[in-house]
Amino acid sequence: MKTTFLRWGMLSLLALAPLALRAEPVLIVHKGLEGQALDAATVKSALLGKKVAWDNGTRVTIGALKSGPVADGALKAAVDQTASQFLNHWRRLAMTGGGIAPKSFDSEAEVLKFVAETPGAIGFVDSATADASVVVVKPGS
Amino acid sequence: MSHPHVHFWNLRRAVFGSALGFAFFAVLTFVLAAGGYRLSRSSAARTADLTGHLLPALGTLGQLGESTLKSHTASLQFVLARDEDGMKARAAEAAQQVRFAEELIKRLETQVPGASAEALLEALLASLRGYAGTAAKLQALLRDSDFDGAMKVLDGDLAKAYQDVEKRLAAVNTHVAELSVGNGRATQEALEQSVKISVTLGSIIVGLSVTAVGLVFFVGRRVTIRFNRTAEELSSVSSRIATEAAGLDTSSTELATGASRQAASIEETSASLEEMAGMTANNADSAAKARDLAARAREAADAGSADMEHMTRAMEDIRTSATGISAIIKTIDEIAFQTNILALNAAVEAARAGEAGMGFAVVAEEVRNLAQRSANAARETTGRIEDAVAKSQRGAELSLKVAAGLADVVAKAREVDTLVTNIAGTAQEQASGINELKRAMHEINNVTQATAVSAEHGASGARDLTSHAALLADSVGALNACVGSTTGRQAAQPLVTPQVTSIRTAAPQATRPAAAARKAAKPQSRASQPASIDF
Repeated sequence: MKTTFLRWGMLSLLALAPLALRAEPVLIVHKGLEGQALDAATVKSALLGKKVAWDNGTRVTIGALKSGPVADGALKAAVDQTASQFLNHWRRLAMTGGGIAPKSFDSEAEVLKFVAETPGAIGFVDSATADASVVVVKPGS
Repeated sequence: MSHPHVHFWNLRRAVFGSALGFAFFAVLTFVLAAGGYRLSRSSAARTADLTGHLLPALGTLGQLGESTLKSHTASLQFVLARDEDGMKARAAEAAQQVRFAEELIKRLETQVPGASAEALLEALLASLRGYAGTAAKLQALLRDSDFDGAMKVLDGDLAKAYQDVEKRLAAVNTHVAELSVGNGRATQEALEQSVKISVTLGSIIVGLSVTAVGLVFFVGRRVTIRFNRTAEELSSVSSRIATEAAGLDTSSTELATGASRQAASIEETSASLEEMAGMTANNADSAAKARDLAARAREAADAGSADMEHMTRAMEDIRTSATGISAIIKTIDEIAFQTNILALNAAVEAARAGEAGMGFAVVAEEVRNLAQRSANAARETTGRIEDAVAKSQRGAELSLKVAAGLADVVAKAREVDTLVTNIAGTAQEQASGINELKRAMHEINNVTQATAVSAEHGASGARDLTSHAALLADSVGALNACVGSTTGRQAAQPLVTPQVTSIRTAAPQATRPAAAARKAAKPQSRASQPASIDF
């Protein structure tokens, strides 16, 4: 009962978020990547599969939202692509052995969970969703 | 002819022999061709099976392989498509190729008969559908961006499914290929047989052709030689014809003259006949008159005969009465005898009486004289009567003879009458016969006129014949040219042409030169008389 309530609440929050909070997508990374230099170019390379491993040796793994304004906005900013274009890019790349394919999810929570649990993982969620289980990388930092 | 060696070679016999040989080879060729035809028919049936079913099936199999490959390629391209539109297009193409492949499998079921083929095709269809399901699964995973799952399907299930399809396809292919190979082997065997037959036939035909060419060459040579000789003979014959034609012209002219002379003679004969007809008519008239006269003579003779009969009877009567008279005279003679005896008795009595009976003696003497005279007279009369009887006898006999003669005369007169009647009839017939003779003579006259005209025509015909002989000479020249001989033509030309001109210009005077030419031509003609038709 409680979880149901919470879920509904979160959903309503999510639904209202763009209107109420002027939310913005943020890049989240696995905690193990804290201290890595994650500038825009590096992030772009990692997202487009050109960079397959971080400087500390862990493999780049992407947790991606399948669709939605958060994904679109974040990817637009980071690699100048929509979520669909991004996934197509990765489909062609992954299916030809060109890198480790991103894991795609339907919800930001799943993305958050995936990033929190997978070493070397990065992903985008709404700033409101991000929590302490991951490292939030501010755009431009 | 002075070519005894060519008599062996008779054209008809040669042609017959060649025809027989060719007929034998024709029969052989026919038999071989029939065998070849039968083989070709079976090959054709097999080839029809091959072309009608197996080859299209192979084509369909090729298409099937292509469409499955295309479907697979489309599925792979789906994986690599740039965007959603590309994915959609590839997915659609893959599905379409699968549908097409299913259609092709159905088509194959009609093209490849047999239970095994059906089972193989069923398996192939199932495999294809499995592949299509796997491809759809891959597409769904990719649409869902489940790259790992998609990768697994792509590397595992889809590849396996495609391999399975390929395997099934290969099995069907092998099956069809085996069928085709079996068919092809049988066809090949039949074709090898056909080739053998064709080679045999070809050899026979080549042999026959060579033989035919040789034969034609040989016959041509022989015929040319014979034609050459024939042409020479023809040229001599044509010159002889020209000569004969000239002679014929003369004869025709003579015939015309003779015919006109004959016509004149017939005119004369006709006139004589006219006269003869007149005479015959006179004859007939006379005969008719003679017939009348003879008839009258017969009647007169008949009358005379009747009179003669009367006379004979009268003679008989005379004889009878003379006999009567003779009896009477005998009586008178007896009376005279008795009277004589009485007178003698009286004289004796008177003598006895002396003187007194002297006067009586005188009377008795007188009576005795009278009696003697009576006896004499009676005797004379008897003699006369006997004479008369004898004469009348003779007269009767004569009259009988005369009667017989008259009867003869009557018979003769009858014969004469008949003969004269016959003569009259014959004369009549003769007259009509002569009339017919006249008509016949008229006909003869007409015929003679016609003969004269015909003779004229004959003369002109002879002239035509001469020109035809010239034409014949030309033809002989052409024949020589055709055969390739020059001697015959040179021989033919000068022989004819001058004669033709001479005949045309001086036809009446042509008799003597024509005769001379005939004399000259005679030995030649005997020499060039063809002995036989042998070559």
